[in-house]
Amino acid sequence: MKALEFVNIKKKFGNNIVLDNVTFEIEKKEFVGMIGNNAAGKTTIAKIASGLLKPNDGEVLVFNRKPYKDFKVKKKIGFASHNTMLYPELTVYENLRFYGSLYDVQGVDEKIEDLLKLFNLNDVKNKQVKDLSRGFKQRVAIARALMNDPKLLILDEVTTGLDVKIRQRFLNYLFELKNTKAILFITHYDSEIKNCDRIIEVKGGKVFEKSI
Amino acid sequence: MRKAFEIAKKDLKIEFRSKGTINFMILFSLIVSFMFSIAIPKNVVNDVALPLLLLVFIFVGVLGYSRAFLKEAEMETLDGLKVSPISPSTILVGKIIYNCILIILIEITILPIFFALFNLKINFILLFASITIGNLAFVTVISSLSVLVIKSRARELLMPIIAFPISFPVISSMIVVMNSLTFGQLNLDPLIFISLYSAMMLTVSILVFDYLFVE
Repeated sequence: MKALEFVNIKKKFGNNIVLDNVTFEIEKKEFVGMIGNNAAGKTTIAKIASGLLKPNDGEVLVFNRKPYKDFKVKKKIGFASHNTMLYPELTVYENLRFYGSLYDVQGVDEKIEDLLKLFNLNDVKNKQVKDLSRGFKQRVAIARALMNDPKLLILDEVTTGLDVKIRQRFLNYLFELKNTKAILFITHYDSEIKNCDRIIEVKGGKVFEKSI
Repeated sequence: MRKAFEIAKKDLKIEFRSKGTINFMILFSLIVSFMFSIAIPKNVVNDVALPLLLLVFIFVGVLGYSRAFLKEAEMETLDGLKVSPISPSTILVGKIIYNCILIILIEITILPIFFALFNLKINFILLFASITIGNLAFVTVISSLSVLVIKSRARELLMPIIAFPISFPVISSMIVVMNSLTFGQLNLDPLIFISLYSAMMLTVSILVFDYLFVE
């Protein structure tokens, strides 16, 4: 069973074809980097993989289940993007607690403490998200995606807005996760994916394997 | 169901911090009630007061209930709910619970003021119970329809156009209830009809919501 399978996926918005017969797969403990220019279709791939979008044609499977249809499989997915999906009026802790309750996370308080420590968020834990800088919000968003200890982690340009130190710390942590879960790491920067198992390039709605 | 309550709890927490919707709904209800109390001649007040009260809640409902979904869409947090392992119908039920609590709070605030303004001599408990049943039906209809207008640019204009025809059975039945209350009686038949209509709307919404929710 693959962690993620895209088979001849086609997605269009109106008359604009964003993904055209996209086929690729990610193994259970594989770390795949994805690069591509703006509007190449990377975010659409991430959204289809996470169940946010339904393809117009083709088949998307996450652990053999359709993520846009079978909401239970989403328990195995962690998704973070440049849209933080955080509630501005809630504190950092409350945001993580809320999402933790939706994912039925066991020992949620300990999990939150671990993530706050990892992303150096302890000082802002009780601050409302609206009062945080872009970099802090991004850190909370990544922590949110890791709350449920996902088997498939989809990260779409998440390092945008992170300072150099936190970015490096996050990348180190990410590479520590290598061989423990399937990771789809989407970025603009070649330097961030040099340690991946495989690199996929997205160009004009099509995917190409790229040599490392 | 627990997750639906978590969503409602989260929405209430946000609402009590931002007070973006509840303040506006209370203020709007007060302004309309004051305007009605000044504009309506004293000799017809008793005949029209309760249908006017219904009108206040209809206006405020059309403008306010859909905010539960629209706010999530504006803040781009709806995606957070969509990627979570919860069924779309759980999200809908959460929003309905949140809107129900909101409207009960507004009723508690507005009804005594409306009573004082119009000097009504009607059983308060019966009126409160009847208007709550009507409002809960209205909440169900509008919350379910909100997801249809999320993507529209003219969503605030589109909502009443879609909501009024669908909620017409509720509105017309509520007018019958209000008229009966004016004469000191309670007509239970329309209230039973409204409850059944709400249950039917909720069932249909839950059945089709999964399809409406996925883009």
